[in-house]
Amino acid sequence: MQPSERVAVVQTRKNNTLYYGSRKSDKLVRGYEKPEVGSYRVELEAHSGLLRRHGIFMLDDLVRLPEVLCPKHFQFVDVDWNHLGGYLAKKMGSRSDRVIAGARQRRGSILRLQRYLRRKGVFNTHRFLLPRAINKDVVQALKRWARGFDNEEP
Amino acid sequence: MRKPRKTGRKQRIRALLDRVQILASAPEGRAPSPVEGFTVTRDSFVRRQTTTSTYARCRHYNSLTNDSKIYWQYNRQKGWLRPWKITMVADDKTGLSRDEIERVLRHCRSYQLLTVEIAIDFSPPIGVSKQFIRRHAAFGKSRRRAD
Repeated sequence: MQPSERVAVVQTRKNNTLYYGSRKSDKLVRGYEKPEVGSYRVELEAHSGLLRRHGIFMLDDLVRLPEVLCPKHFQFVDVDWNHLGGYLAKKMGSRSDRVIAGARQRRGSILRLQRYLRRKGVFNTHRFLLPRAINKDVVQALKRWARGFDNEEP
Repeated sequence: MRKPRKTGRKQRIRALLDRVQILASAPEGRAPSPVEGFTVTRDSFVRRQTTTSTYARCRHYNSLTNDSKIYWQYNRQKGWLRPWKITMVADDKTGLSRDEIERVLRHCRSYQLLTVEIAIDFSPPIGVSKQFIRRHAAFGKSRRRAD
């Protein structure tokens, strides 16, 4: 591959990567297509502050990472529209239809939707989120990794 | 008679250790040691990256068995830095094993975990994509960065 082509590939990958958090915060999350392994990869980068707070100091402590990361720092959720609709109807009355319509317009991004609801006076938005079934598979995968890591002979 | 284990089903979600970064202490001025199963590919001067100079040299190691890499920064330029900063990057397919990390740690007097990166691979049938992440993933209080 020519250097210019490599630069183009890196640039395309960078444009298609999702970033959450930052290098200076407790964690940085990256999500991107990984053609080398034929899958979509989510990388959870835990920084020293987060590790220290959960007592992860040594290599042996790494097996506790699954319980530290899921569900607090990583989970898939759905919006409970019925619950949200009921709450808005009680809180806003006739104005709730317009807010629900606005929320549905923004459902392509959970953060955008939550930001919209906060703007409309609904602050505890996490109460209207339901965990998805896929979370169990993620936790299982993490535990499988932790077991393998722990049982490996040094 | 024991039943044979089913091995045909592929794991659709796979987690692996992708990167570990540690700060380590070592006797003053000591250069990095050879690491079993790795070969030194480069040892070079590192120009200052910001206004503060940190480590003057970096030794690169490549694994002899897979695509794992080690970047061993040494020759600190400030007294408040730990003598070594070591970054271990995993092979894309296998991840970092405990053995690989311990082969490095046995050269360190003490160490502190700086960064631990876990990669979770979702195979295509699951349907996780950029849109799916934006729509359904919650990463605690972390917000999406614009760039």
